[in-house]
Amino acid sequence: MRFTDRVALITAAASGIGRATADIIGAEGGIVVAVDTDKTRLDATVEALKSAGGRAHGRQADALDSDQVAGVVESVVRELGRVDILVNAVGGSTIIPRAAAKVDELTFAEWQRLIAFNLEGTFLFCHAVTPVMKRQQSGKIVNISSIAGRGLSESSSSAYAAAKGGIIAFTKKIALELGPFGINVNAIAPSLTLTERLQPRWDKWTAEERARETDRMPLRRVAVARDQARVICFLASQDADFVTGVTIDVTGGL
Amino acid sequence: MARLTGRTVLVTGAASGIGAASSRRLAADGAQLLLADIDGPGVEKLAAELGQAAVRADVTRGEDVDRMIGEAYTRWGRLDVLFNNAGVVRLQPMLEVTHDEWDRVMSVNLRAVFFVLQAVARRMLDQGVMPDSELRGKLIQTASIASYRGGNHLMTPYSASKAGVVSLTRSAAQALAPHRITSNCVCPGAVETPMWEQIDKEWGALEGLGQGEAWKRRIRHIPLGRPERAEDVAGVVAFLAGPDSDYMTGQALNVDGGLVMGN
Repeated sequence: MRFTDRVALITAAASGIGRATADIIGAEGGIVVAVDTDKTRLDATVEALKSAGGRAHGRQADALDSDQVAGVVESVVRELGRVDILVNAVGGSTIIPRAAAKVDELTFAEWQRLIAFNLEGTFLFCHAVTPVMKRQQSGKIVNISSIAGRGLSESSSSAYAAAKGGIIAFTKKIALELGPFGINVNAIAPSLTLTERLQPRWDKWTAEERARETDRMPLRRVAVARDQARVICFLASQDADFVTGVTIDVTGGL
Repeated sequence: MARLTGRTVLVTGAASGIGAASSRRLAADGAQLLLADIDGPGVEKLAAELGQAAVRADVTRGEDVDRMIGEAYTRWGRLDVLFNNAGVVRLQPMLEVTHDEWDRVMSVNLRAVFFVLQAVARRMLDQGVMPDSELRGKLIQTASIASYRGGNHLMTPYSASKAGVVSLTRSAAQALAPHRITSNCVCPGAVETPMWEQIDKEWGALEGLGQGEAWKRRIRHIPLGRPERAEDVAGVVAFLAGPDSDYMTGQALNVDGGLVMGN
């Protein structure tokens, strides 16, 4: 039980990597505060965590809205007293019609949407929990970058790459700022991960396309959300107490 | 918590420092260990304390390496994890490094690390996957943040050897991933170990510093604001030895309190 009584605020917690992370932390004694915009899925997540024997609270909120983010953090501190772990899982490359649009095909509006969606929620939640964690003199923040943030992705755009590269730099910079307060800040950089959002796209690929993608992975399989969540949970645990400012590629060797 | 129950692990350089702390942690997590070190009495003492097996081995000698790995396979019929950790250091100004000193450091830190990895990987190819895992085995090397820009100017051969360890960790990851063997390394920072006592002494002698002064200088700028302990590295080694890191390979994971951040 690595997370006994730890309050873990997880964004985009109702699906994908956020949900898989909530499942592990909930099962290992943590108090999960699940944040998501989708009320139905959020309620189902909280219900599932509780029926698995965990403790969970739901907060329907938009991570890209500064007032809503501040409100969530304020209410968590009021009701639960602290925030030990923040996992910023909001993000994605498929919010534009053609996720892999080349630089000359991307519209400026699409660029702005991708930059905002993949950076602003992470900033706003880090900004809001930092005073709380500073008071505690402890805390763990885990951000989600992407292999695209290393400049290596054929299935997403340069706007997504720029935003996820931004997460790597943001993670290092605030690790430097917050280290003296006993706060660790790290990130993971996943490769293609079959979440609820990406599974339908994967299912539409031909068998040959899927085989080609699988063969491209040195470990010969595509990641699932749990592969990523396990590394996030390591970074959120005491085992990573002296790890800060790093981004771990969880890519099966790509 | 017994996250490594039943997993078999060979640890080189196990008698002291990071090797000893990691051995204690892996044993506490339920792993079965074979502890190897050039310091026979030292490694036997630790093994007796932990109720684990020990073998005296000089990893630069081929026959010792064969005997060490043979011992693991005789004992268990398989080896799940190699913690390829043995290493040495000596501080010298770059312009005074001799051929002999260069060769000594490279021979332990890079040549031996590679040939131990190679010998273990050859055996791992013939074994089935671990229980509760899709992998045949896991290789973990000890590199260092000295491989980055923040490396010490008095540790040229050491820094080069550890950069080499990161490189061969990545080569092994690429070569072995299709065979379901992963390869990762840890990059510790300035860790409170017998090795750092030696560094402090040699650095002090070279630059006229009192005892503990070089250590203080090195740890002054750690963002997390405290010195690193061998147990800090051991927690990361336990993660790399366990199932939670199964989809990671070819990674060099810094455990340095933010000292260099991989730059």
